[in-house]
Amino acid sequence: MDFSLSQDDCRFRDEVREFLRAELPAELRERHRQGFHIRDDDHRRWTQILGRKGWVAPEWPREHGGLGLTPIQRYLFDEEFGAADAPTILSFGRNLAGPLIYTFGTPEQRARFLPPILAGAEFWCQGFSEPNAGSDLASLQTRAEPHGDAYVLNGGKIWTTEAHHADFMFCLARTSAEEKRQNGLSFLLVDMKSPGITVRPIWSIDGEHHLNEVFFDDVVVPADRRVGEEGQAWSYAKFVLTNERTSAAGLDRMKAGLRRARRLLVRLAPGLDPTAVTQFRRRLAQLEVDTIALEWAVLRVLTADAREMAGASALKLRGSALAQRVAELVVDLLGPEALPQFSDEGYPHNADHNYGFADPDAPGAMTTHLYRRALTIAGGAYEVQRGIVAKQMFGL
Amino acid sequence: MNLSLTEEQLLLRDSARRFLREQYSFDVRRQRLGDRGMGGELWTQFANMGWLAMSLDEELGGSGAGPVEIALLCEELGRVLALEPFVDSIVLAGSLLQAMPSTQLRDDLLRGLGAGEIVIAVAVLEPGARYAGAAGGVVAGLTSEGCTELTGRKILVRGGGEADMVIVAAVPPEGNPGDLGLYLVTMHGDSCARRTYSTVDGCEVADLSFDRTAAVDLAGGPMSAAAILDEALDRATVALCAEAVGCMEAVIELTAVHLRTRKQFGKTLGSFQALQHRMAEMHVECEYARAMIYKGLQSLTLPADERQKGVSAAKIRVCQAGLEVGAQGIQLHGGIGMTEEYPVGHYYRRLLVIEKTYGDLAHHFGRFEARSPLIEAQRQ
Repeated sequence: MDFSLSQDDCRFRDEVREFLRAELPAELRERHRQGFHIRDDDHRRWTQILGRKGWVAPEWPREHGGLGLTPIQRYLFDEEFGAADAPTILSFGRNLAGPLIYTFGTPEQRARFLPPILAGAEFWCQGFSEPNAGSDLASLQTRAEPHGDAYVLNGGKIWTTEAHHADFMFCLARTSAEEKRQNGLSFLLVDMKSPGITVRPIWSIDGEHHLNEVFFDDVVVPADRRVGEEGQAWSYAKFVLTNERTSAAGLDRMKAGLRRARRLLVRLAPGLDPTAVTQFRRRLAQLEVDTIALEWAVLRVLTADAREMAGASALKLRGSALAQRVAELVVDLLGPEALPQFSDEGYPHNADHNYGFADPDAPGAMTTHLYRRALTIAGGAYEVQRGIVAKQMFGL
Repeated sequence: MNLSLTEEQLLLRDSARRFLREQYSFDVRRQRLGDRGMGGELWTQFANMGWLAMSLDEELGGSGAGPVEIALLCEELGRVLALEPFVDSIVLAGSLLQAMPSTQLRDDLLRGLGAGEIVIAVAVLEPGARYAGAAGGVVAGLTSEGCTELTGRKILVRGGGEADMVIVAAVPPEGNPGDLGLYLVTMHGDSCARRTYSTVDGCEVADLSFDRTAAVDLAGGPMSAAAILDEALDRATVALCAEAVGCMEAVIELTAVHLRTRKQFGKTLGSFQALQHRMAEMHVECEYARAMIYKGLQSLTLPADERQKGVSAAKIRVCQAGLEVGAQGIQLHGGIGMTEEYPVGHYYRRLLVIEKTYGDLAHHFGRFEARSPLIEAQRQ
């Protein structure tokens, strides 16, 4: 057992730190620090900055254009982003579409789609959930019917994050009706500019627009845009999502939230009742302790022998709930000043913009808190995950 | 960084698990509960397995194992609810002595400890002083001949009932409450009055009353006695946390079997979703507690301030998980979980005792917070 970082890892971490210090635009950092969702133009700009360094998806294997980072280097990479209040790029291209395509795609698909992801030239969205298929994903009904050398896509997706900005969607669609619902599904790479696609915005409770409903009306998808075998998409989806679970569980965001809470408590403590200070301190300490536990659970998944890891899949179960509690603490520290609806439109690019509140941490805190309600729903509701753990671990 | 266990470590864990499963069944344990004392035979077997000397240097008869091996073994001891004071006598007393400069006395004590020939207890707690080691309840004085003697009372000394030696934390001569020295008392006939009793987990402890009892001052090295005790307690705390994880694992196994077999309302309990979810939560709690053992082990390699903070974080999280898992274990068993004849309640009681050993939640929260002062945030 070795608890220290290798020299290579330390050097890499320092390189990431130095890069972020030099290259992260200040206004982007400030906006991310406050907790607002990243704007599309900022996201493109930041991804392109990272792309020039080769750091959009450094954990990808070298033969697919990544740096082949070890799991621990990936962890350090994400951690440095968190420490610098740097936005991590959206996961759809980096963590999902990319690994899906380089693992199961054809050489032509890899050549066509991977380089633009790495350059920040094309962006992806995920076509999984449907109005009648949420946590019960296998009940999805969007159909792709073979028609010559193409599929004709009909149906619709919902909760599609960033569909209004995405160039492509990796879409789960039913290519045949089978007795077992998990069979007969295929992965299609859908050009979002195709005729017959309608994207309708869904405004969420955080006051922002990142979710959408997507409608397919006789959308033609060339057959060579199918990934892997027809009808086998369920196993590909499971593979890609499992792969995603070994990333850092949002630790970077949690640590940034804890720093914010700590900063706030320092600033507010002189004006607070001593009992309240004691209570807030204890809540902060509890969350810091829980974050340490999550961090070491992640480190175990990343570095320990697979034989010792039965049951570690459960670790994300609490990570999401913990992120919610951190955001709640920040809101509670702000008290009534957390209540105004800070409009995304009104976000100040001029540094001296003043909301009329004493506390610079107020904008974005409530937005973050509201947005994080989704963390225990997306990717399979908390209740579904618990059922999976009970079944996998105990055969219940 | 690599958190894998080596082949040797896996072997140690597996052999300990096998041995304890065979030798330390719940029935054997219940019999031991009725006996007084150390159950000399088992302690001798522990010595024969090499467990008591494991972390000693080779010239003292040990195998130079570290905290990782200790933690692996403690987890297995937790799994069977071993009654022997392994953590107190081997980890705590052993660490105290190992932190001191080599002398004939120290080396002899360590050799005897590792061979299972002598039992050494550590006396820290005093009435009304929570976890303070030298609140003034026991003070050291000097006789006119210049010999050291102790006067006062220590409580809840694990293994103190039949210890051959006791290491006592006390206020040094001319010192003030809070100043701390470490003293060795050889227990014989009338060296001190002992009252032996059990804590709720069935483990044996003793109160020791010293009245001008002859003692040997163990100070003299480069580290202060307070720093030595603090570090040794941190080592013992991590070992104890590993024991707690073993207890949790056992509770979860027992409960899962119960849910799979017990029928109510015409179906197995495990088919009720509310209970499946609770089972999943218990498992997740235990996984986080296990992760904290690694944090604790890592903390033992850090400078004092960070070590204390990390070990306290581990103790907090492990004990919270332990209390939750233990209590839910009883709840999911229903009435049988409340009985003396069924193991799950024994695990809960052990987990309760662990929470209050070497500092409870309140103590460790205080220690953790003191090492992450609010002022620090202003620099960021």
